[in-house]
Amino acid sequence: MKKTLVLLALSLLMLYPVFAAGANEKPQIVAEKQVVTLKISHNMDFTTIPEAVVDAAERVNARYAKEGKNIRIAFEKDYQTIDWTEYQNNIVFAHKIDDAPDIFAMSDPAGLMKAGLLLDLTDMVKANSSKFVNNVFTPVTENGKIYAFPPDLPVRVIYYNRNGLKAIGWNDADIKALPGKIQSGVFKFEDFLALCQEVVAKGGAKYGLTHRPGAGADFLDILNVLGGQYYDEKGTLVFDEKGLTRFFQMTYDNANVTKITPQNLNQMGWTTINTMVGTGDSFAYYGPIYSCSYVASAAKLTNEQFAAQEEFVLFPASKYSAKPFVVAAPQYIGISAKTKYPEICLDLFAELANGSADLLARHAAKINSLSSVVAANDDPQIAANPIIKDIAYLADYAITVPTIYGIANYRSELFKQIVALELGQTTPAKAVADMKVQIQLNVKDVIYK
Amino acid sequence: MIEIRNLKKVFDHNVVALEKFNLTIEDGQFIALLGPSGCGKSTTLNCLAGLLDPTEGTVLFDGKDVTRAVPKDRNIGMVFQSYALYPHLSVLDNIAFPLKQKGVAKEERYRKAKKVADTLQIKHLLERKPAQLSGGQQQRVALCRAIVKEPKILLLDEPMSNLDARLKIEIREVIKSIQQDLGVTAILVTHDQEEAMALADKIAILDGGSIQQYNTPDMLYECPKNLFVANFMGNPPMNFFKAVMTDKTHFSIGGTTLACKMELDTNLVGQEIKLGIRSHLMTFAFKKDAEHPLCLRVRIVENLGKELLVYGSVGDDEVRITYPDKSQYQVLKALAKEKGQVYLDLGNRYNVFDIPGGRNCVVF
Amino acid sequence: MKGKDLQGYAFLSPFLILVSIFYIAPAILTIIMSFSSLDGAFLWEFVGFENYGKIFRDPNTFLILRNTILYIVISMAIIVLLDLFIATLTTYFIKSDGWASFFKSIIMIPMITPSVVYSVLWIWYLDASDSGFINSFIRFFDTDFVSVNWIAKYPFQVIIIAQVVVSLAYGAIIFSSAIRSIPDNQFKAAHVDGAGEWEIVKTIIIPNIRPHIKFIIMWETLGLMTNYLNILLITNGGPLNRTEVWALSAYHKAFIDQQYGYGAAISVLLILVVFMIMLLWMFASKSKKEGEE
Repeated sequence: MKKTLVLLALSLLMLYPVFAAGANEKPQIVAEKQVVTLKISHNMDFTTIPEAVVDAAERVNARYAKEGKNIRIAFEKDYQTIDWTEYQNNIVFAHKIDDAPDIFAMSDPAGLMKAGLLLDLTDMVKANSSKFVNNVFTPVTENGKIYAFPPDLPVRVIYYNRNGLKAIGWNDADIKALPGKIQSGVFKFEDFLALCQEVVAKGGAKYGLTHRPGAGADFLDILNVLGGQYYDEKGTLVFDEKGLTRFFQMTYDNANVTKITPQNLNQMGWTTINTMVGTGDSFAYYGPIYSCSYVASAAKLTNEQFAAQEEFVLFPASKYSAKPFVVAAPQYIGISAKTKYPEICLDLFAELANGSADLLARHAAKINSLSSVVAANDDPQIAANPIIKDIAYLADYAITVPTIYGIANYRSELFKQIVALELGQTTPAKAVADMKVQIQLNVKDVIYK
Repeated sequence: MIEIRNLKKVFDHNVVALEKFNLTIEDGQFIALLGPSGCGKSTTLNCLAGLLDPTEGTVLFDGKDVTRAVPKDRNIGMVFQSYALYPHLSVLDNIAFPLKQKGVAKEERYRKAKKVADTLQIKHLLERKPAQLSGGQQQRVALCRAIVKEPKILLLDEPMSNLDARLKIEIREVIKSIQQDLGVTAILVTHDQEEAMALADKIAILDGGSIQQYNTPDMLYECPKNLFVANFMGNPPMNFFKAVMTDKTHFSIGGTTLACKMELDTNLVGQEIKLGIRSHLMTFAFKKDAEHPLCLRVRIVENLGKELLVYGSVGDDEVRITYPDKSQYQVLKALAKEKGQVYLDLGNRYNVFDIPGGRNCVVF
Repeated sequence: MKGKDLQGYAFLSPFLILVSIFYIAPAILTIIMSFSSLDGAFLWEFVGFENYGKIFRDPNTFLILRNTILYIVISMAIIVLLDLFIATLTTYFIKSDGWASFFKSIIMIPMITPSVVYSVLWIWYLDASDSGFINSFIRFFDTDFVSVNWIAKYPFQVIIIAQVVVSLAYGAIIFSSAIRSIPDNQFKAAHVDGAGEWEIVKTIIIPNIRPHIKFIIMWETLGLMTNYLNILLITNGGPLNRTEVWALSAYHKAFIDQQYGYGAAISVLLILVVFMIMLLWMFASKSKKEGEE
């Protein structure tokens, strides 16, 4: 009996702190102020995005205090590092049980839009339209309504290592002039591929051109360079046989004929590829600008050192496409359609576009990207970043891609064929045919040409 | 002729199963290796079969050294206590199996198998599987399998231990007739002395890895070499009396002096001895006299049908004695109830064993 | 009597409830899901047999089916044969208990290694670059050897070998104890009858452990049909569906392509096949039993 009592007392003693801590979670009325706790969720490394929102809230709080509004915004943070598909699924599930975050990141805005889980931001955006860079809302606009907020404007570019050019005997002037030549359309994509070949042949690098080892939007840029169409102005998926054939032919040739891309590239991991790019073993690479922080750290370089060696350029014009370009692909964040505090959340986003643009600049500088807000692009933080300095001009050539229904399937099937083509296990014609069948089977409403 | 010379077998942990084991078996004889558990009889059989390698010693078949030869080179057939039939083969295939291993053509080996099956009266079972047969039928199949290749030697490892009393007798007859008809040398391992006496031409009694006596059943019964053999053979077992030799021709059992009717080969005067007498060789009278000097306290009386069996004690020794006159049954029963006494005549034929050696000192 | 029944059910009920929640309910949900177009938006829209139609219209279905059947049949044949070989070797031929236990412990190691670790090891061994373990090992003997991208070039062989190595221990140990329980006298009788070692294996060992062999065949078949973890980790069904097996394609469609309804339909078909095989099996053993009686 005595033993039981002692045990009971001990367990109560241990449970007390749990309850006590729990008690503090309840929203309190603190000196007439109502504390509004917003749940903010994010995934993967770029936590400067949600932190910008959190810090912006402090300024909003100050403003509220001045205006006499008795509201104080507080945050419950939920930063994860899981697979993006899983993260987005969790957001959907959370909505189903009414436990969704108020503000969250996303990998596939189209899916969330289809599910009706995003709050309509159109009015807020229209009220602040001059504050934003052009076209940053295109990918998240449907029927004229805007559903997500772009905290940055990272572009997808081609990287190449200046040392590779030095190694094959280029002088400094030529090296410096190359980006300009690409910009003016004189130096075309075909010339670029030939250059990669030359660098490898003359021992300037081990590989000429590498890319991401997984499905993604990067390949669509090359498709675009080769004049392949994958969407129309309405955002419908387009299956362009001729364009895809050219793209698959290039993929096959790069790995099996000119051998500027290693055949087993897709079996290598991110770390291996990042290191190759960072050390110059791979002369050129194409992908989002924010990858360069990973590349730099893989090669154990600082941002400055990497900026000194690497050049970031437009996707050149080619025989099949007239203009060089980059694709701007912001990492959107959204407000839950089911949030209890839509006004406050919209206020936060508006604040980011106005007085708190410096917070967006902080984020953009961290990931070496331009910002989606005009004021942020003039911010000294961005100016101080050696990489962004170089690429600021790219923004003029940026195009944005609308939401395309079925693009995930398209990208997945595309990558499957790329893997096989690079290994030499299929032909471009067969790849196109196989991909066509799969798209026909799995995606509705596709335009075939 | 089988010769076993100085066979020694030591198992793990220095367990000596056989040592200095010598045995000679003539062709065509039926030999029994008889003894209690652990006496080494199965070990000897396995060494003969080639299933065990002896630690030392030699085995010769007709003068040829087969000590290290594998079983299949020894031209033997073997029957096991658990039949050891191949469960998934039909009876016919089981019997024909040894011939198949020798490379005999199918027709020929099936013909031989059927012939042998006929001899043992299991021809009607040839299509069945072992699981569908009774114990006795399975043992017949095992016998067929053992003899189908016409071996020179037939080894039987307690083949009847798994059978009930009636089947035992049946299979006993089968084995005996096979051995006689084929003239094959047979070696039987058993712990049942009745079985050994019924079947064998000669019995080797084993105890603790060595042969106690190797002779015809009759000799073992009538002239046991030592206490162990005397105790082992015969049913009911021999009666033993503790005694002391008082002089060359007299001994005393618990105080009662009696004349020794047997000729001894040693001078045992003053030594302790044990007398061994068969139940049917003693008589008793209800009153003490010169012929019946030894007092027997009666405990139990049994009516065996053809005679009475009286259980009693002489001093500390338990005694069983047969009594032919059944009319005395009630008298003896009353005597037994009150633990009364009768008086023994030790008869004219008994064994004298020295103590502690246990050797039979009588000259037969 | 009735009271006792109730008591029995009462004791079973926690277990029954757990099984219902974690096995039966999801199974039913999957069947329902297969008739919907559930995707990343997680909106239930019922589309009847459309998913099943898709399966039959997809040209890859035939390839996946062929891969699955080949994978199962080849792996199972190798596993059973190797298991018999190992069991016979370690139980019958190798008399020393110590060595036998040693070998058995070694073949158990892949089985108890976590799948992820195991698969990563294979990927590491088969690394396509010059510093890959197998590549540099071969180069040790043949200096002109050009490094091979093993996983990309021989994906089917790789997954079969990987799966076989993992599956060996289970059957080997079961066969081993089965062989041990064969009565010693059968071996003795066979030796006396003049049977050679190979004959003994054929005539005594294998027939005596036939029920165990049947069990392992069924067990491995079921396992190979439904377990895709090693394939997912080593080749991911690639390159280009060359090692895509049925169960893996269900996973891919559901969790990678976010087509849950479609993936569910593929799973349902797999379960139907498993179910039919089990029925056939039960039918076969039952009729055999009746035949023997």
